[in-house]
Amino acid sequence: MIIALDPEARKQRLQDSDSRPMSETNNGRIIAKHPSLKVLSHKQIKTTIYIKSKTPYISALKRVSKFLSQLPRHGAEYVTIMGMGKAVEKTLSVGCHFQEEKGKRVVVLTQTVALLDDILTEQDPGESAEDMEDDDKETVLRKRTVSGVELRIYY
Amino acid sequence: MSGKKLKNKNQLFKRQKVIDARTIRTEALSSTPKAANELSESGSMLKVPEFMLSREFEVKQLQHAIHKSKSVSSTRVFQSLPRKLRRRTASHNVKRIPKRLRNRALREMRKSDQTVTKGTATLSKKRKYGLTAKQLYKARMAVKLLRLAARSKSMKLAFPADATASHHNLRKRVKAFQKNIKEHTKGKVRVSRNNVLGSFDSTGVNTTAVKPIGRIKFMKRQKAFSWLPTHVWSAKRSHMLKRWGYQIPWSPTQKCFKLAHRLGNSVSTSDGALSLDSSYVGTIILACENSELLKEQISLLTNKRGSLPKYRNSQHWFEGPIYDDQGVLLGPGELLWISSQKCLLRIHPSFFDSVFKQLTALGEAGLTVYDCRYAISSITLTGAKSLNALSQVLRSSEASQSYSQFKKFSYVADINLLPQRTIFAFDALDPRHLSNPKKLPKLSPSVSDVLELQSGYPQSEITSVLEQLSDPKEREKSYSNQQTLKNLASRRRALLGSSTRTNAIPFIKGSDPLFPIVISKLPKREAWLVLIPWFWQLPLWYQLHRISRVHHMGLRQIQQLDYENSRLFFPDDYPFTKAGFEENLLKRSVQEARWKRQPVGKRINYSKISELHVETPIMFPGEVGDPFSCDWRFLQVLRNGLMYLLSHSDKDLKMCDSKRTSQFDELNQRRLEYINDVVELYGDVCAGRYKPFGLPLELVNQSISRFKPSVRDFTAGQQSLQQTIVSCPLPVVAISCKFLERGHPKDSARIYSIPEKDLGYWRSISQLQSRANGKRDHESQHPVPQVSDLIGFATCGTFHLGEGCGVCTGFIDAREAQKLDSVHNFVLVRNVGTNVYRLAKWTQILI
Repeated sequence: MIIALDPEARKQRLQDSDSRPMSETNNGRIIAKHPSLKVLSHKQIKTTIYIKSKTPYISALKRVSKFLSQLPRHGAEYVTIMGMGKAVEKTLSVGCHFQEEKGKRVVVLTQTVALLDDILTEQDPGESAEDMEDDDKETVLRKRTVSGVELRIYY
Repeated sequence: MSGKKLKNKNQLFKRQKVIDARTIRTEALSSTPKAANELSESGSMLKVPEFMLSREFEVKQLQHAIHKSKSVSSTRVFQSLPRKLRRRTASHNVKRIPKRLRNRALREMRKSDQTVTKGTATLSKKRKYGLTAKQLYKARMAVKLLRLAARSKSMKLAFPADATASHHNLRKRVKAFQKNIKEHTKGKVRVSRNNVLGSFDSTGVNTTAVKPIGRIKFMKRQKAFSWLPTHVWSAKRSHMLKRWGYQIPWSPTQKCFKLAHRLGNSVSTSDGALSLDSSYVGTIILACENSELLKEQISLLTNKRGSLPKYRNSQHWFEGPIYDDQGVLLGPGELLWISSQKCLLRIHPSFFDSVFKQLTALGEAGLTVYDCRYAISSITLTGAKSLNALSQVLRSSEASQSYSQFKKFSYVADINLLPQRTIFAFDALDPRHLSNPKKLPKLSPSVSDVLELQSGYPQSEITSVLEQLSDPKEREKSYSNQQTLKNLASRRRALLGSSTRTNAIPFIKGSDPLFPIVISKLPKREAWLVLIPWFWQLPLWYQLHRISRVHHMGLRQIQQLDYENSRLFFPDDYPFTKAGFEENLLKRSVQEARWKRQPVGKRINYSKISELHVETPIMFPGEVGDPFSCDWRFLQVLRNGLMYLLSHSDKDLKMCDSKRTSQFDELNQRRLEYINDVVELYGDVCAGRYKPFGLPLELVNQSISRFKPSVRDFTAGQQSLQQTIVSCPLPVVAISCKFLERGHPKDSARIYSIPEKDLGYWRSISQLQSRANGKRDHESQHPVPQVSDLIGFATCGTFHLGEGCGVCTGFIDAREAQKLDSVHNFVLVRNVGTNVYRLAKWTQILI
């Protein structure tokens, strides 16, 4: 599924991203980005793969094949691959491989992932903030949403 | 007849069975006459569906054969158990086999004419005969002592001082117990414990605490090294380490490197937890009426960091270096402010005493120091399931906000998701009330719940539990009426008669004990820290380890996890502290002994390694410095010497002057003009001509871009130039290097900077250098650096399972690091005893 943006909006978005890097937003600096929310479930852990932007493509393929062969052991029907942000394209190309080359049934779902960032709070003017490392400054969490894809590759 | 033995009927049958299982059938050609026509000598065309069907049949037959021959070869039921559950005693004791397989095991044991035992025989039977009168008397007295001790415990009496004194003999001890019990029955000695388990609170107020000796049987074994609460449990399952006055689990007996990597890290594949009894970390509670004085003291202890508002007002954990009153870094510590007048400090036992002395010295100023080493114990948990595992065994009697938060987040798998300040604190029930650990109903919190967790931090509730935990009287109170297993079992039996089936023994308010528990996230260490009163540790520990996929670990695993997450592990990765420097020397002697034990032909000859450097110094024809450890003294002398040479000569540095040997000035001090002279100066240090004082390193614990190197003039001081170079500590930064090529680093690998002239070459390597066949070339001849390019050592390094490449933790010269930081972040890493240089990228580690 391709989400089409109209050219004006895309232009606007590009300008936004150019004018300020990721770590400098207009209200507060991002100190750390938290991972997405994962809830413990043995079956899910054994059948879900999260694709990172730096995951090698071939490694992802090998891992999915391995998970597919272990599916009956966990009583699951499909392997889930998740990717968000920069990794969406890679996730989809992994899905394409299994659909086209291996002839598997692949279901693509789009989703919105809510994430949390640590943002620096306003410092008291009395404190000397210059010689403090980022670790020692107080932060608050702020929500950010990213779009992602979930792929189900059936056995 | 030939030598072949004839097989009997049974053997022939078995053989036939195996042959049958291994035979793989193939599909016969269709027997219709048409099919026969299709076959010719040159083969013939096949139809696609038929071809497919036939291959499918073959694959199925192959799988079938594999499956069958596997089942035919298996003989005994315990062989089918997973590695983790195999027991050597399972071959004769059926209790070691899971219940569902027990009947089969019994049948197999009977079949093979084995003796079947259902448990261990009584021990008393074993030693009935063969004792002389003296031996028999001694054995009986020992038993008597144990009986008396048990009796006095059940009468809620403290052990009399004579019974525990180390210089008394067995008879005197028995006498002391008898006297104590007699006097109690007469009403002279009052009850001094509030429970029959013998639990009590051992806190030292401004003095060191008394060791709780535990059972009197094991008293003598704890003279030099005291036991942790879970010692007996751990000693059965782990290799133990005797260090720093404690016996600490080092590593589980079963291999667990990959297990620790998979479960212990906060990754999406982790579905278990690793736990460590971290009670060896000493706990101090500092209380002071004058909050300014306390703030000042903590600020001194943590180099102005621990008293910042983030920690002092908002109750974040401080994890960072601890300094002594001279400003010397001692090692890592943790700090939590309970209120502005009280704080909790956790420090490593290797420097606990010195910090404790330093703090108690201020006693008159109104600072009260509670030594809670044997009063507050802790468990460290890592892995996705840690919070869930705790939620399965901990129950609270009263509704509290913190406990409901804890319940809500018990299924969250990733510790990093939660806010930096995540503390759950409540009054918990005895975990043994539950007959089985039981999962709480599953709740899936959303991101907005996490935001709520951050904003709705129940500070007053948490502070009150922390106050309870830090107060000796409250801790003592938590043990009141602590029940024995026998008591609990009888209460459980009484429940059997009732109509409602329940997993837990109902809590009776007033008589059943409650204890304060604090579960908090350590953001830097990515671990959960559970703080509880000392004698509540064991009940919790037992229950915790009944949960599936909760494993125990040791210090080795902590070290591994620290390495994998690029953190520094104390003391191995702290060479800039006294403890770390000594650890390095200790490891060195072990390595050297191991090397010396090997025959000359089989060990690496460190003085004969070719093509190490462009030019070799005369002292080190092969490996530079000490080959068995990170030779920090050599690095210090080399870097300081080079700095002096660069500031005092205009020309390029040369290795040596071929026309002359080393020279001495009129005061008989070595003249420093060439690189070789600096190396010789290190030789003088080894020979004892110059005595260096202090540690060779000092850590720069700020981001390298902000580091301002002081320009040192070595000639200005009172001492001679050579002595200054030898004694002036080298500023270093902690780094983590990631290999860009094949290979992996090993401990004490050498780190070099890239010479200016070779930078282009190494850049091309970092991008890609491939051979004609499309693969990367790892065999090409690399240019070699100078001795003077040595900038650091790696303290630990191996192949990183998470990154999929070699990674090492090390220290490099801060001045050089700053120079590098502005241009590129490449270094070269070379293992000891090899001449292969690998390109790596470094990033700084802050503690």
